[in-house]
Amino acid sequence: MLIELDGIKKYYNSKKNRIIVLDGVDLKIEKGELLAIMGKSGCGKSTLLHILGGLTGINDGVYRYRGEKVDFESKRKLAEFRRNHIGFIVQDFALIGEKTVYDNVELPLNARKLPRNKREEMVYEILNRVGLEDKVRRYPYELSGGEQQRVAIARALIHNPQLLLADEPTGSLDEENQRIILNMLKEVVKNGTTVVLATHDIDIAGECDQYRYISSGKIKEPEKI
Amino acid sequence: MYHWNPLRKLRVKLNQYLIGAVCIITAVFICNIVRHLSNLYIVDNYENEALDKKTVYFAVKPYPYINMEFLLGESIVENATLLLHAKGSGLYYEVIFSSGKNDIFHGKFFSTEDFISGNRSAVVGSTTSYDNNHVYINGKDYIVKGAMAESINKALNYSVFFTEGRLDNVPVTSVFAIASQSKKDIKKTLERISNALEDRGMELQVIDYRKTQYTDFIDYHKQLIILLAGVGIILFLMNIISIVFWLMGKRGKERVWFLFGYSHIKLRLGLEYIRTLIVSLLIGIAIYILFWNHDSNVIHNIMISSMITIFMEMASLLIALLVHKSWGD
Repeated sequence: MLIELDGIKKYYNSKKNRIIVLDGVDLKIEKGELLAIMGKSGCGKSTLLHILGGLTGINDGVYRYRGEKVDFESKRKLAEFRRNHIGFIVQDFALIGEKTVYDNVELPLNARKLPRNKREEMVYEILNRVGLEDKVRRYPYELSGGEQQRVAIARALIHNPQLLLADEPTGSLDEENQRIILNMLKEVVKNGTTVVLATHDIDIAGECDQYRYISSGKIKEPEKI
Repeated sequence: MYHWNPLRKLRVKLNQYLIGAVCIITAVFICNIVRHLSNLYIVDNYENEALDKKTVYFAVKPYPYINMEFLLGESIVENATLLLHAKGSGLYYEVIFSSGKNDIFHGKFFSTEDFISGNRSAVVGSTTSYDNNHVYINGKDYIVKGAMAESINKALNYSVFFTEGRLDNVPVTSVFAIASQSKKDIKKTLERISNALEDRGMELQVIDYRKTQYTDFIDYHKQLIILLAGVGIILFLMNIISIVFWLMGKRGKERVWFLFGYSHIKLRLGLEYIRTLIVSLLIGIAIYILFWNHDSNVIHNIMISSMITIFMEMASLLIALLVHKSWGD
């Protein structure tokens, strides 16, 4: 078992009331699984992904990653957790506009202090995998939406994460590019990486090994939708 | 949406240029403010009869008058000028003896004869006004032997150095001063005069001649300093605003850093800013040197200005980073 969530609660306190986003979420994710998290906008899909990736803390419950409890108290440990285990893809690609494709993809490696030639080798290898080896020196604004998302995937995978979290990865793409990205994610799963993607698109979710539905802050099984 | 930006190929965002420009403006302004205040302080010191920083002042006891003809026979005053420094005389300095080589006048005008003849002669600054080779000080007429070359030290250009040619009968009620281009020559001359006076039963006493006190300086130029402080505050606020604006433009990059487990995000931003600050400061100083280098103590002013600029920029950065909400905060 790669991930175990047990009674995860997440809420935000406003001046007048408490906004409950996740209300006791239980979830188990196997290694090498492609799981879709579905739900309406604002239901807590992204928050769940943020918790899985150690981007935000929890108010209650336990998160175990490979059997070990994730320590949400230490920012340093969370940063280390993300650096070593997690890859992220987001809907708006989150590429740095003033950096080239090469520099964007290299970014996760810079936090690891690898030698330059090793980094270069890894960047070219991953760009080759996503079919962008000829766009190395281009800037994000010179690429199409689909190509930008492929750069984001390359960046998310360059440090060989065990868990790839994709928040609406196809949300801003046309059908053809949606298909390309989805196939790419399936390929990633075949190589042993676990992928959790948040989507509101039932067709995308249907292509995944499994899907879960979030409603009223709780996870619901597929048959209960 | 793609915004056309010709500077994008240089791999920095426009707001990076903005903070750079603000840093350069700050550096140039501060250099000029420091230069202006420093020049004012120098002029004030001249008006308070403090010749320059190197000059050594001393008093002689106990006689009211001394015969200093011993200066003629021995090599006592070398590469230096011995002055009588009367309080309240403004920019007028009575020269007792000058060695004539590499001293403050470069030995061009006074001759040994001038110090013993009893004639009144004078050497004037490059912009001192005088009439038909005559200059009048306290109603006395002095023959102008020559005018000094224009000095970068503006106050020197308005000074008058005169001699009464009375080496045998020098009053000791005033303070003596030894001036030279070189501190080493001043020290040697002081030692030799001290020994010569001691041999003659007199005592030389080095005094810490009063310079313009900073409190007096601030008091005297209060309005100007308030005005310049206002400019400084505006520059400070400009820096804070530009850094806040720059940090807002860094949100995307910060987010990516945060996603991929970078630690010390604010520190990274700070270091990125410091890189821009160093480049901008060097450009600012280069501009200052290019346009305002006609200054006697340009290196001193640049050092002081750089320190003030760095302090101001770092304080602005600290304030901006404190109010900036980073990813993961």
